[in-house]
Parts: sequence; C-alpha cells; structure tokens
Amino acid sequence: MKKKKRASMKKRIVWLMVLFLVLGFIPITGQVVNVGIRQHEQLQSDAVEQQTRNTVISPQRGTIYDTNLKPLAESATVETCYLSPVTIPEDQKRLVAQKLSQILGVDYNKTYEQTLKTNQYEVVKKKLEKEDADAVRAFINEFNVKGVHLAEDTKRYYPYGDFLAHVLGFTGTDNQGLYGLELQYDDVLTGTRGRVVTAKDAAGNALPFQYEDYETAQSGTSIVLTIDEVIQHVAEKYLEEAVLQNAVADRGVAIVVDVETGAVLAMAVEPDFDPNNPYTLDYSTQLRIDNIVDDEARSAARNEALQYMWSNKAVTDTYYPGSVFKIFTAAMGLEEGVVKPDDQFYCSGVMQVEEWEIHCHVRRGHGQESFVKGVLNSCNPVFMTVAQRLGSNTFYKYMDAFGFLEKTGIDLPGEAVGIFHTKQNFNIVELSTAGFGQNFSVTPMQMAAGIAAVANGGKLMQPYIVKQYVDNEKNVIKNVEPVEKRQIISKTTSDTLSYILELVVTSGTGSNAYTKGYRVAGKTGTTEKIDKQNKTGLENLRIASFGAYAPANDPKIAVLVLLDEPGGPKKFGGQIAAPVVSKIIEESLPYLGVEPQYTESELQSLDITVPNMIDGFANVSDAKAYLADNGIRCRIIGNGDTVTNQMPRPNTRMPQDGMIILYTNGDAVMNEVEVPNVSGSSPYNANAMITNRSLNFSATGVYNKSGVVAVNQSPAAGTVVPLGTIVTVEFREPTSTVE
Amino acid sequence: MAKQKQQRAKRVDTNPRGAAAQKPRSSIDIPFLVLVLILLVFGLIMLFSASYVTAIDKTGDMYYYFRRQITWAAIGLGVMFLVMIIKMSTIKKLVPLIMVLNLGLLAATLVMGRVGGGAQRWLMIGGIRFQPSEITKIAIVLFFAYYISRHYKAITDPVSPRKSPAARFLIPRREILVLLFMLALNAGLVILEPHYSGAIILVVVGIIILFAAGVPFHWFVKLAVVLATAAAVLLTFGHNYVQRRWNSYLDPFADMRGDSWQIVQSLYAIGSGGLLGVGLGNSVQKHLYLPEPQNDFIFAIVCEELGVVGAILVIVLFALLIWRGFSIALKSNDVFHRLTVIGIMTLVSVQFILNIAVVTHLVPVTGISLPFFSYGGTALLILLAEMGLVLNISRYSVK
Repeated sequence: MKKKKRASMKKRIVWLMVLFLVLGFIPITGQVVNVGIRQHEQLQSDAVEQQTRNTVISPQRGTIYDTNLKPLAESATVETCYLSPVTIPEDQKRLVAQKLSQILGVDYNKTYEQTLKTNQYEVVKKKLEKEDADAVRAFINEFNVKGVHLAEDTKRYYPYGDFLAHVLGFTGTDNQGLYGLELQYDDVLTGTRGRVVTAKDAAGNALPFQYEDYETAQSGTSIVLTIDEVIQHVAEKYLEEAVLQNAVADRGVAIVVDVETGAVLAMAVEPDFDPNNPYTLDYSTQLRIDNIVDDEARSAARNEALQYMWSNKAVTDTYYPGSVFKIFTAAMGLEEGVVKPDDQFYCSGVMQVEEWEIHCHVRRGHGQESFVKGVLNSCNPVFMTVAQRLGSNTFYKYMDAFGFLEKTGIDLPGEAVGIFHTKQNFNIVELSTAGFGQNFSVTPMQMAAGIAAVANGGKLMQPYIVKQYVDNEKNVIKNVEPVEKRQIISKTTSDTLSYILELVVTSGTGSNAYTKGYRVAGKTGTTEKIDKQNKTGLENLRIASFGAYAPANDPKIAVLVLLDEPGGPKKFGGQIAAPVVSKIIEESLPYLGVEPQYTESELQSLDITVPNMIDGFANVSDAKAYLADNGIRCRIIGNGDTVTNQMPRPNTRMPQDGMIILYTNGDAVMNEVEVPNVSGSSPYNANAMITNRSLNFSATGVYNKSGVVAVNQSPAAGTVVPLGTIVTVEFREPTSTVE
Repeated sequence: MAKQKQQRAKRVDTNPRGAAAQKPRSSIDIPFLVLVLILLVFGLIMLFSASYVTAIDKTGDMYYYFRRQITWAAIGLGVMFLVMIIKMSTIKKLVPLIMVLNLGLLAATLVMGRVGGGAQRWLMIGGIRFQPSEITKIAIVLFFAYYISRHYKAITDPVSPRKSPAARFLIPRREILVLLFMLALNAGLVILEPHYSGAIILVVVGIIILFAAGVPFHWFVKLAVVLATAAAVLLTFGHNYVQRRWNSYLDPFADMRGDSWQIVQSLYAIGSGGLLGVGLGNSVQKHLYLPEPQNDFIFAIVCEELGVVGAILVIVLFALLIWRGFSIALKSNDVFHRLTVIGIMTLVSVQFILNIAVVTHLVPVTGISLPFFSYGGTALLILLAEMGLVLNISRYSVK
C-alpha cells in the first residue's frame, strides 16, 4: 500500500484565496452591479415615489352658465382626507381608523388596512364638506395624531338640482366629466392640475435639504349655453306634467330650437335625475332592483337602469317619426312641384302598393280631398302618392338634405343617428311608407332641426348648445357662431307649408296646439312601437308627438314634444303632446319679446288686472260706481260703509267678464264655497257652473271652438275657496280624428 | 520534569519544515497597515454620513454615533499597536485562558444577557455593552491555531489510526474530534442566544482553519453532507424566526411592512445610487427609510451616495486586505502564526462577503456587520486587535 502524502498547507491557503474570490467577491460584485446599474431605473423611481410627497392641486372646474349667465353647474371647495400610513405611530393606527370611521362614515376595517400600508398617500374619503373636515381637524389636534391630512379639492354643485340634468350631465369623484356637457366639454372645463412635489423622510417630514417643485393649477374655462333658464323651466314643467298625467312609461322629450340659428333654447327629458346625486334611482326602480336575488344580475340591472336614466333621450334615442314627418314629405312635394295645395286626391281608406295593402288611419277613407285637406286629415294615401311622385332618388336626396341620414352634430355626447333604408333597398314599398313617416327612425333632435329648417325659409342649421367660452371673470374668450349646413327648400315652399301647417292647428288634427295670441304651425304624430310590441307581446305601445313652430307668419322657435309609451287612455299626439307644445309656446314667445297678436274673440277674453278696491274709495258706493264705469261686475257682502277686503286680490289677473267680491264688514274670514267639478263640460257649461257659485271663471287651452271639453281645472274640484277665487279650466279637443 | 518541558516546547514550536519562529525577523507589513488605516478612515466617514439622521432622530445629537465610534477607533488603534508588539509566544500562552474566559462570557450572556430584537446577545460589563460572540470568533481562531500547532502531525496524518473500516470511514481521529467538540460547544452556546449568523461564521471559520491546516480532504466532503442535511432540517422544522427570514428572502416586496422592509429599502438605496451615486452625504434613504443605516446596512448607503463605483472601491480595498493577509500567512513558517492569520482573514472575508450579500439581497437577511464600517465599538476594537495580531505575525515573515 502506497503511503499517503500529507497535504501542503501553502497549497491549501492558495486554494482558499481562489475560493474566496470565486465564491465570494465575484458574486457580490456582480450583484452590486446588477442592483445598482441594471435595476437602477426601476428602483430609483420606486424610491423617489416613496421619498416624495406629491400633492395635487385640483384646478377650479369651469362653470356652466345658461344663456343669461345664470350658473347651472359650479364648483365649490371641499377637502379630501388622506393618510400617510408610515407616519402614523403603531399605537395610534386603531384610534385613527376608529375615529375616522366615526366622523366620515367610512368602513373601520378598510381604514385600518389603509393605516397598515407603507406608502405615503391613502385616500380615506373625498369631497368632505367643511363640517366633516373640521371634525377631522379637531380630532387631529385633540389626539395630536400624525399622518392624517386634509387637502383641498373641488366639488361640483348643480344649484337647481334636476334642472337640465340630461344636458348638463355630471362629474365623477375626480371631477372628471362623465355625462352630458360635463363630458363633452371636459377638456375645456377641467383646466390643468397643479402639483407640489416635496422630498420628505420616512416620517413624512420635509428633508433638511429643500427640494420642492411647484406647478400652479390653471382654472378651467367656463361655458355659456344657448339654453335659456326660463324656457327650459317652462319646457320641463309642462313636459313633466304631461308625463305624469299620461303615465308615460318610456320618458318624454321636449326640444325648443331658435329656428334662425339652430341654438337649442330648451331640451328637457322627463323623468329626470339630480346630477348632485346621479346614482340615486327613483324609488320604484330601486325597489325592483333590490328584489333581484342574484348579485350579478342585480348589479347589471342597476347599471342598466342608471345608463337609461342618464341617457339624453333627445339625442341618444331614435323613434319612428310617424305623421309629424309628413311635414317633410309635403316640403319635398311642394319644392319639387309634384304637388300643389289644390291638387285633388281620393282616399278609399287603403292603397295597393305592389302586393301590399296599406291602410289609412281612417279605415273608411277620407274620400275626395285636396292636398291641403289631406295634410289636415293626415291622410296616408295622399302622402304615399306624393312620395311615389317624387320617386325614390329624389326622396332619398331630400332625406339626406334634411339631415336625417347623419348626426346633427350637436355638441352633446352619445348622439345617435336614425336608421334609414339603404339606397339599394329603397324601393316603392319603402318609399310609400316613408312618405308618411313609417319604417325608419330618427332622433328627436334630427326632427327638431328639420322642423326649424322648414320654418326658417329652408336652411338647415346645425343645432348647438354652447354659445360662448368665458373666463372666471365672465370675460368672453370665444364666441361660437351658428353653422348653416345647407339650403334645402325655397322661401316660397316654406311659406306655403306654414300656411298649411297653421291650418292643421286651426282646423285640423292639431287643434290642441292652439295658443292664444300666437299663430302656430304644427303637425301631429302617433306611431306604434311595432318592434317593441313584437318583442315583448305588449299591446298599444305608442309614441305621441307634436312638431310645431311659431309664430307661423314669422317663425322664431320650433318645438318638438314627444311622449313615449303613454299609459293613460289618451295616446295620440294631438291629444297629449300638442297641449304641451301650446303651453311652451304661450309662455316662451312673450318672454322672447314676440308680441302676441290677438284675434277679435281673443281680445274679448283677455284677462285684466284686478283694481285695488280697498284703498282709495271713500265708501262702498264710490267703489261700486268705479267698477260699473269699468264694466266689471261685483257683489257686495255685508252692509258696512267701506270696502275692507276683496277677492280676487288687487293686482292679480282676472277675466274681463269676471266678478269682484267686495267685503264691507271688516270680515277677516271670507265667505267660502266648494269648487265644482267641471271635468268634461263645455266652456259654456263650465262657466255657468263656476260663476253660479260666485267664483271667477278663466279658460285656457282651446276654449273658443265647439266640441272642446274641460280636461283640467285649478283649484281641483271639491276644494273650499273664498268667493271670487279664479278657477282656471283647461279645455281641449277630445278629438277622435287625431291623425 | 525539565526534560519533559523542553520536549514539549520543542513540539509546540515545530512547523512543517522544522524551523522555529521565535523572534521577529522583519518589520511589519506596511501595505497591510496602510490598507487597515484606509479602511478605518473610510469606514468612519461613511459611518458619520450614514448615522447622523438617525442620531438626530433618536438622540438629538448628530454626532452621537460618530463620536462613540471614533473614540473606540482611537482606543482600538492603541490596542492594535499593543497587540502588534507583544511577543507571539506570550500571546500563544494566553490562548487557553482566552478560551475559558470566552466560554464563561457566553454562559453569562445566556444567564444575564440583554435582550434585543428577540435574542439575548448582549452583555453589559463596566458600562460597556458588547456581544461576547465577537470574542468567541477570535477565541475559536486562536484556539484552533493553538491546538493544531500542538497536534499538527496527528491532525494532518492522512492515515487513520482506527482499526475497523467503518470507524475509519466515519470517525475522524481524536484530535480532530476535540476541535469539532470545541467548535460545537461554542457554536451551540451562540445558537442558544439565538445568534445564527454568529454560529454560522464560527463553523465556517473553524472548518476553513481545519482545511488550511491540511486535514485530509475526504473529511470535508463528509462534513458537507452532514451540514447540508442539518441546514435542510433547520429550514423545515426550525425556529420560525429562521423560516420567516427565508420567506422574506424569497419575496421581499410581498410584505414590505414586516421583515422585508429593510431589504427593500436597502435595494432602493443601492438602486438610487446608480453608477456614480447621489454624492457623499446626500442619501435620502438614510432619512429613516432604511432602519439603522449605521449598522448592518451601511453598505447600502455607501452605494447610494458613492454609487457602484464607490461600492467596487470598497470591495477592492477588502480584496487587497485579504490578499495581503493571506500573503502574510504564506510567508510565515509557524503553524500557529499561519493559522491565526488565516482564521482572522477568514473572519474578515466571510463577514464582508456575507454582509454585502445580505445588503444586495443575494442571501437572506441575517445580522452580520460590515467590518470597519458598521457602528459597534467593541466589534471595531476587536477587529483592530485582530489586525494588530496579523501585523505582529507579519514581523515573523520569512523571505
């Protein structure tokens, strides 16, 4: 056996040196290079993130004004409560979570989790009102808490609540526009964020060497709308009333457009929502959603309901225009000369188009009629014939010209465009039905813009809703000029149409649009929601609409009112949409400075101002003589010497043939009487019933025509009121000859 | 009696070549001294830079740590020169006493030591707080060098005296067993504190000295198998303190709050430094992000302030020191001298390498300080004493 050699110590030591070098120094050098150079950028940016306190300064969001600079959406200063968790001492974390959850109503567990994080910025709650912010400040001072901070932020307020909600839209928690104008003009309104970057140590204090970078916030630009608060208010008021009264299921729309410029003066959708609390659904919808058991289905249903509630039906929904569209078929026919007002037609109640039998809405037919009469009757065969005379190419050309094949270009988000036949598929059957507004869809805005074009002498204006950009001192930065898209029909055609459409209101299906003092041109429309009926199996789903403009002799505004799925007994446009149009016109035009022009009979029924009979008369007989001289009837109650009280009150309005009740005994309590129920009565009968009780009778709506009946009264029947109180009664044509 | 004593002395002072090294033959190794002084000054500068923020935060005095450290450095330099001029033979005679003293201190630590960070590692004597395990390290080095030099032939004998083949395969000879027992005893006491990293360093140093001495190679292979098994067992069933550190090593960014905070902040510091660093004194991470930046993680601040360039400079300085130390060992021809230097240089290299590896996230976090740089007065004192020992031995070099 060979003797083993003793190991050499020197060799072993040299080996050790190599070992340290290879297994020790090379790896650590490599790792230093790896971390220090290869991962340099990532680690450095992560480190800078934790080393700097980045405070964002929210810019003031621009205000949205109505046309008269009344603020409709404005921003106010609020505060954001945030934590820098690493700064909160361990023993205060639970206290912080507990107190903040108490003060701010946030979840304790979630806040406690936040205090355990290792970053510098955890938002606890945004948009704190001053009260809550003060409570947080008090808590910080009381317990000398570190790491709880408040930062300024802004919150959007809509001072008029649900007013103009669908147009204004609303903003999200970061003040970003989410819907409506807030979304459309987000870039303009937002401004630029400012920020302060400060270096700080792990305890959140600034470092001994100062590092601070400051960028100022740039306030957003304010916008001024074409919307007029007064007209919008009128539109919303009467639309809401109609939606409630007629149990409208799929919302109502009212649009008022300045016919000369295309400026939208009012755009109402009802029911609406409050952009201050955009996530609050109405009670019944919320109840329906709460009853859904499945979480996913419930949240989907909630989302759907919110989207539906927020969407601006005036621009995002399409509908079959129906008979209101006959305005355009008539315009095309007259412009192209294929029909004249006196041309004769015969309606048998049905018309054969290829293999289809297409009916008129009056099954027995209208018989012999002129074109004008056809429009007044809203006779379908007349318009089928006109459409056929035009031919599909010409008809299609006008569809394009009137803007029904394109978006209107209004400055609102989510605008839809109606669906029309393709040129290839636009054959005789499609052409004939399109003639009376069936089998294609448009948006309410497209319709209103088209009507405005017919009214203003034939030029299609692009509808718009923002007319000006202003700075925060209301100095004008930029004006938005109206855009004329194209001339479609001649002034002559426009005038002829105005004459015919005014007849529709005075002696045709649109009689309920009659407006005291103003000549209204308009057209009724009622369409069946065939698609939805087929899909759901429901019956009698209608869209009642009325398109109009006024004054007919010098058009200023175009109005479209649309009630989708009225659930009451009345479903025709002439019955329920026309009165809304009438009321909007009646209150808007005087406001816009258009003087009413009364007819003889209207002049007789105008209201007068109630004179003051209490002061200025020596005795009762003087007062009586004064009233007699002015042709005002009166009734004296009591046997005192002087007039101590009167009804109606001085300086209110009363009918000129009304009666003033004079009290002479110093009675504080007036004699009272119950208001009679006049529903369904003729104006004559209603007048008698009311004046018999020593009440004053005032008629509104269509009252100077035979066959009209009372549809509304105020005060309501059964109310006990003082003698002499004015009872206002609205009369409408009960009309079965609607279309 | 006299003859016996003479015989024993002869045995003690015998090196492999039979030459005795009784008296110094040359001057001290100047490059080694210069390297020590450079590292000491460099370390003190970095200590001040790294510590002043924490010092202000904790005591209000920005020089708190620096003043203490520089005082200890001054004392340490004195001790270094003292150790440098004492005769090596005198030191050698003191070794058993040092070992006994060390064991006593370890035992005392377990009984009455100070608790810090979940472990009982500190001892307070005469107002000075120190870790006895620091003494254990040098005590083990000296004891191994001492014992091997006395049993050199037996320990390095490639032929086992054991009869049965099984025993020959499994059991090393008695002299080696004695050393392993001493190692286990010391490491065991340190583990009880618990101070795992200290124990690991002890074991590594002990084994490396045995290797350098020339213990037959096959024993190291067998030992590696045993140690690997032990490590696996420890990681599986060990103290959850060990497991926690291991988990935090695997994904430090997962739970930055817990044990990983330190390593993540360390990486941020190194990463922020880049190639050239943010400049001396300009570290942001020392502003309370990196906990106790003056201690184990001081190298991260070096990287942040001086960049990869500065870090490599530190690595090169240590490499030179170790190279110089090993050459001193090679130039010596006394077993005790040689193994003492090897042991000391191993201590320095292992601590240095492990520290950098921890700070750069190459190995799990464990409490190992950076020699010359980290705050710790007694540790610095002992380190300088060790350097004095190496310098002392360099005087006995043979050309």
